[in-house]
Amino acid sequence: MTQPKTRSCLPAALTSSLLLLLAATLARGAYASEDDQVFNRATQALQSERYSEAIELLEQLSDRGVVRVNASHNRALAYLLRAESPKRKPGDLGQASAALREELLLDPSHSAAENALGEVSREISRQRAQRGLDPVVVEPPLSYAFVNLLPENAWAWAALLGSLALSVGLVLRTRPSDSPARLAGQIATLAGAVCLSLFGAVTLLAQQQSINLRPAVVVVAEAALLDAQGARQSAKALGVDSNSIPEGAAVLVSASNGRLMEVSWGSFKAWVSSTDLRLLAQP
Amino acid sequence: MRAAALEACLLVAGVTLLASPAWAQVSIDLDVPATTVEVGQAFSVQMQALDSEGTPESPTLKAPPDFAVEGPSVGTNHQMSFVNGQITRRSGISATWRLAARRTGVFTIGPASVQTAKGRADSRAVNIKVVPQGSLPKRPQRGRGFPFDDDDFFGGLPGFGMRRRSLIDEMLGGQQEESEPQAPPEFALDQAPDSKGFVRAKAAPDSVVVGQQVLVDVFAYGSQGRFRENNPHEPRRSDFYSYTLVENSQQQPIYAVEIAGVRYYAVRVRRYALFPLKTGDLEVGPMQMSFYGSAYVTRTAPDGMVRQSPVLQIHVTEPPADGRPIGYQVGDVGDFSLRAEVSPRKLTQGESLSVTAFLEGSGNLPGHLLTPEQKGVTWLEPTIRGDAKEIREGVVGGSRSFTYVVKLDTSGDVDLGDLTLPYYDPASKSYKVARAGLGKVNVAARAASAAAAATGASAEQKRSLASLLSPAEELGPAPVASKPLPEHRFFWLALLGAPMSVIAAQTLRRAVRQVIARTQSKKDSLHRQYKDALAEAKTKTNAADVKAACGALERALYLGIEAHTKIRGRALVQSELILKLAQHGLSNEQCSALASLLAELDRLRFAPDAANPSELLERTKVALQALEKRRGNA
Repeated sequence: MTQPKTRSCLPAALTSSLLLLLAATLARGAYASEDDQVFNRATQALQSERYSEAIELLEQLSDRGVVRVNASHNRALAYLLRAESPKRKPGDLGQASAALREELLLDPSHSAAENALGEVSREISRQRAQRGLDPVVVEPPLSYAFVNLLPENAWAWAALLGSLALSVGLVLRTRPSDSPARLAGQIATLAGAVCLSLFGAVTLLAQQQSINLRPAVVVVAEAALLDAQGARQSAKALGVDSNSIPEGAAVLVSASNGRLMEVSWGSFKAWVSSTDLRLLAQP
Repeated sequence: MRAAALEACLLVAGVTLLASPAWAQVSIDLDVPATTVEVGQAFSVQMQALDSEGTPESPTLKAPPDFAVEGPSVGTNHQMSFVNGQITRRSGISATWRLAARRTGVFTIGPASVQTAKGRADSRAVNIKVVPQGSLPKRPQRGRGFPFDDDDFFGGLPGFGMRRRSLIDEMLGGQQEESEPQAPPEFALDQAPDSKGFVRAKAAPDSVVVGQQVLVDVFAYGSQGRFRENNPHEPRRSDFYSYTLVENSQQQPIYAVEIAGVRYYAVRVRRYALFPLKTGDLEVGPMQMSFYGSAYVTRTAPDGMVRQSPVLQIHVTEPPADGRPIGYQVGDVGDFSLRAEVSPRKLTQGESLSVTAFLEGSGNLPGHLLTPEQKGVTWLEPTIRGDAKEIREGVVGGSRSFTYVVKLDTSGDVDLGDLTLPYYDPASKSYKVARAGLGKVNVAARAASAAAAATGASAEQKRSLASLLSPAEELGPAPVASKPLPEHRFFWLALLGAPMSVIAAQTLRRAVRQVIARTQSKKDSLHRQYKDALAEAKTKTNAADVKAACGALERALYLGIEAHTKIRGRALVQSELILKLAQHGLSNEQCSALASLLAELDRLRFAPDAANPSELLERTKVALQALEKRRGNA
């Protein structure tokens, strides 16, 4: 009595599983095509000089978690076009800078974006100069700059090579003292230990940075430097020339408490209002 | 005579001219009833201000901190004068303050000041001497309502004499027994948090979206008689855009409310329409005030009983993301309608037209509209007029106009499109779009040379930052999100594990070798010792030292047993030793022979004369050889 029942259950379960799979695939496809539709509408708006609408649509994509090189690229273009139109809004250049940096994060080979980013930075400095403000050029923290000389994986592979050299060297060191292999082992041990220590430490630092620091860009004319309670900090207290971060500046966000974000900018840390920043999407 | 008449005319004219500006000046006077008063005695200070250019406003009085001050009660008056055939009108106010000193001394009251069309004008200041209570002679009682009536300001308080009812009470509300109107339902309470008096705040609704109106009412309840709000501290509401609908309780009706069988006087002291600016659990701070009335004033609280309302918490979220129209700005919440006027409808290319949009409705009126974007049509920033106000009981709204200048660089019949305002309607919990169609305008083309110049200018403008980028046509594939190598589980294991495992293997190998070497050396040591003992026994036997030879043989035997069987014979009694040796595989005969040899050697150590050391040496060798042979077999 039980056997026929089992036989009839199996095809039903298979069918329902297949249907579920099909539904999931279709839903995913529909969602993907919806993203494409929004992007196409944004592109049309951009070409029809309806920049605000294009920005709105591209921001919708961003809010939905769509991370694409071309979406960032067109968003940068839309903000730049609006910044140069009579409908420009404060922070448009900062938003363009953020979109270009995002594009470069997603695909570092985009030389046009790199070129445009340099021009946008110069334009922001020029506009600041027109307002009587000094162009503020602040280099990223030294450790961050060093770690970002190479991709995280490059440091990791270098550390692995160091580990391998050390292991081989340790094995060869046990050879008889008059053997050339022993000498090679000693050299490999020393070189491997140095490489492992150095590159391992940098790999660890890079990993910590990728986990704890989020790149962001200032998207207002001036992001005021605050303390953890939100009170404005004076430049004197921070030991810097300015008590604000200029538009378009790249910062690293290390913590947040809702409406405030702790950022590293140059050699110091401070809090700024989270609405003054745009966090960059990462692949 | 003629010259005298001329002089007289000139004199009259001069006087008239001089008199006019004098009359036009503000006159302000401060009057006090007496220059000496007692501590706690209430007295009135009156200021009269007259101005020919408008009614003076905002009377203030500077009083020392040791004085309690009430008021002012303000009345208006008008004067008309006829001077030199000219009619001059002057408007004025009369402000009366009630003061009472808290300590003796000489104090300066004033100056009193008013706001006039030409700025603030000050009166003179007066000096008042305050003497202890009872120092001044009693004056006959006069009827109530006399402005300078000497009242015991702190009547009914210990140390300040007794009074049936203070003037404060009379000033606050006349007869206590008079019936108050029925309280509206929002005043009703089941329980009173304080039996003397309390301040209560209420928010409705307490869960809203960003930009939605929250109506906050603050009520004061006092059970000790009528009172008036004094020293109010407004509630903190920095997370909200705030409209004050009730500024103070002076014009508010007082109700009698019965709470748990106790009669309270209740009044609405504030009403705010708040519009949250952000999400989260936002707080409206406490409102603090003093209850000012004879039953609420004490020596420690001369300004009245202080109470404050609890903190209110408003839960604020964003409107739903689903269905949010393009261009919606968070905070645009309410119910709005939009209409627009366009003028002129006919113009020439390059000219501008004016668009005036009128936004009406309830809610915090937005300060922006979405203008249509199209080629050749440039909208400049609008001029905005009109602000929100209370349009009906507890609801803020109104109308606002937006006037745009629109420049047209295209020609033909241009459809201007629609002005829109996407907003969230909390009543229907949905998004709506207020829309005003602008229609078409007819734009005549301008001369070709001007158009060419404009094209050149626009081509100049095109050399811009945006020209560095060209738009992407497709969204493209999602970037491959490869996990960084250090985030793989085995990366750090492999990185540190490889050299560590080599080091661990080498260390283990070394340790094993050392253990083996140590064991071997220990074994070698036992063999050497028992062989040394045998050699010593042989030497002693040859030397005929029987006792020493027996001792050496016994030692050699025990060491031999330990070296070959690992049995420490000295720690065992004879029977145990035999048992252990048997377990170790020795035959019964061998065990017995060893046992008897050991027993004999033990005995001979104390009677060496009966021994034959050579024979014992041979027997010991045989026994040890048997053990060695047994070990070899094993």
